[in-house]
Amino acid sequence: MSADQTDSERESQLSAMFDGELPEGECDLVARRLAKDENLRRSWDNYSLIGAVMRSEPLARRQLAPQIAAVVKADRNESATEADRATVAATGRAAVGRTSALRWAGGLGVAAAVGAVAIFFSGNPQSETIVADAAKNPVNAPAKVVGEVVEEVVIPAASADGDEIILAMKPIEPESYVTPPIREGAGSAVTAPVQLANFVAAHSAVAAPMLRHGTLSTLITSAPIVEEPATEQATVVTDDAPARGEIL
Amino acid sequence: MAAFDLRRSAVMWLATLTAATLPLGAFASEARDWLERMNKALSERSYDGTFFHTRGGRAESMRIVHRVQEGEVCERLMSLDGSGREFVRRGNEVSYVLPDQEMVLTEERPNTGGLLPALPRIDDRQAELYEFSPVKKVRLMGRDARFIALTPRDPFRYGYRVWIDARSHMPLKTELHDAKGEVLERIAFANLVLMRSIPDDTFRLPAGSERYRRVHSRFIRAESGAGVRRVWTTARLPQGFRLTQQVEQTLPGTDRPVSHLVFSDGLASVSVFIGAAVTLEAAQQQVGATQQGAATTLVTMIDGKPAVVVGEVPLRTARMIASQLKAARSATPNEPRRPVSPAPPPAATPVP
Repeated sequence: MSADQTDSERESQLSAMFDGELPEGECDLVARRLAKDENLRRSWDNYSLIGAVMRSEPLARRQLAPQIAAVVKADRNESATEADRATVAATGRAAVGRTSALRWAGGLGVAAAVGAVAIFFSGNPQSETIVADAAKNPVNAPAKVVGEVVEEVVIPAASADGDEIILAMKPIEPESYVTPPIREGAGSAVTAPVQLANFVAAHSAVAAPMLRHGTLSTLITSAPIVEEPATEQATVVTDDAPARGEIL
Repeated sequence: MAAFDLRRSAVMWLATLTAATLPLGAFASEARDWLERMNKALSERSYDGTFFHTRGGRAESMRIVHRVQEGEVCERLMSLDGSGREFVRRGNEVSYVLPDQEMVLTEERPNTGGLLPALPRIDDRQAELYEFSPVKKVRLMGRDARFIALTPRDPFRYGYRVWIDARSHMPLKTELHDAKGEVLERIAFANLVLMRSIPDDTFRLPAGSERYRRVHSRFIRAESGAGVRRVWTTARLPQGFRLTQQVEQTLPGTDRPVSHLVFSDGLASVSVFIGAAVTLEAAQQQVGATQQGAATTLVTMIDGKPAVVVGEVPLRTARMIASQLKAARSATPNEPRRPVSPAPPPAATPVP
């Protein structure tokens, strides 16, 4: 690692280390630099964070992995041992490379998302300025319509006063539902939409309007595919609104 | 003689024109009109609705709020189940709120300059690709609706069944099915309200998200002027698919431009991102596909470069398009961008 390495080269090296694809000797060098370089440490932190996002793991927010924290601390005291650094290097190799799914997340999603984080930290001082005044946000009450209505296309009778809406769904024509069988390739082990969010988002801009809702839904789907039949038959009632009978 | 040539050419031209318009029969023509009305309504009207999105054996309830006001689109899509993830679009700013990850990803997208940039267009070609059912008058959810079925004539595309509200032209229910008629994905509105106005507050980020980690990035459309555009060619595409858009753009989260190519058969579209932000090794190891409902994503190598293919098409279509793409050798030789290790260098000469 030369002194005149650019930020992006260092990022690439860090990315490779996170993917477990950096030679051992270089891992050691990266570990040394991690101990000295605040920005690089942030990047490592973000790799861990984004890796966890990609893997849908719960997060310990903004925390260095304990092993790395130990080395950083030790290095600040100018007493880091080779063993400590080796731990960091080992952490790097172990962090993502355990399974092909994790490797995927590291190689694709992390590589993509870390760039975003780098931009966030290096060039956008206003990124914290979006203030969510969500306490007053009417949308947070699910399915409560706010605004001036032109036409109620399909709306439950109970909601006529605008105060409460009962959401009911009963299949018009009960149909069997077939789970798509194709789930091949290493990528299927993790939820693709999250890793590929950037691409799906860019694609949604050019998808037919008819398909856009489905494409966008892919981005915010909360859980991976469950291999069981659909359960649409249930009547769903929002919040505390009492069920007042069938709507359809 | 000249007059004869002129007359003959006029006749031939007329014949060509007739041939081009004839395949779209009365059924298809009426269906096309309804589909175009629906596309217009979805894109240009303001509405607030809840729908069930069923895919892969799983139904999830979603709420969509869409507002078009003074040419600006605001949109909010919420998962009402589980994680409570959201997509919020306010003009050019797009945010993904991930409460389960305590994270907000915010991107600034380029101003596309119009509401409907390069959307798939329904034209006469579709009658050769899909069998149009007669438009049927039906009742659905207490509304007068029109039912249209489009059955694919080959295995390169999915079929559609759409129930369009006769008055608002909004789709009450949409189904995508495979060649065997099995439903892959269904969107069915449980309620839907057309709005004259929707307050700005509606498009604020949700409660609690202010304490989430924010990742902000810019979406920069690279200059498409001389010297930066790479030209891609396709030897053979699945029938009916055409290249409708080709731009160089920088996706959020990367500093390297990718080539974004869009192929469409008029209904379905496929995006191909070449030079995607995947390391060469990762792409080589992870070549593979996932399919959720009708959405196919494929990571592959195109002309030695990592690529991501996304579209509402069968896997074979995505694969065929990817396999046919090649960098044109006449591409501009100068490449201003610096290679970034360990990703593949975006050199003008593709790696074979």
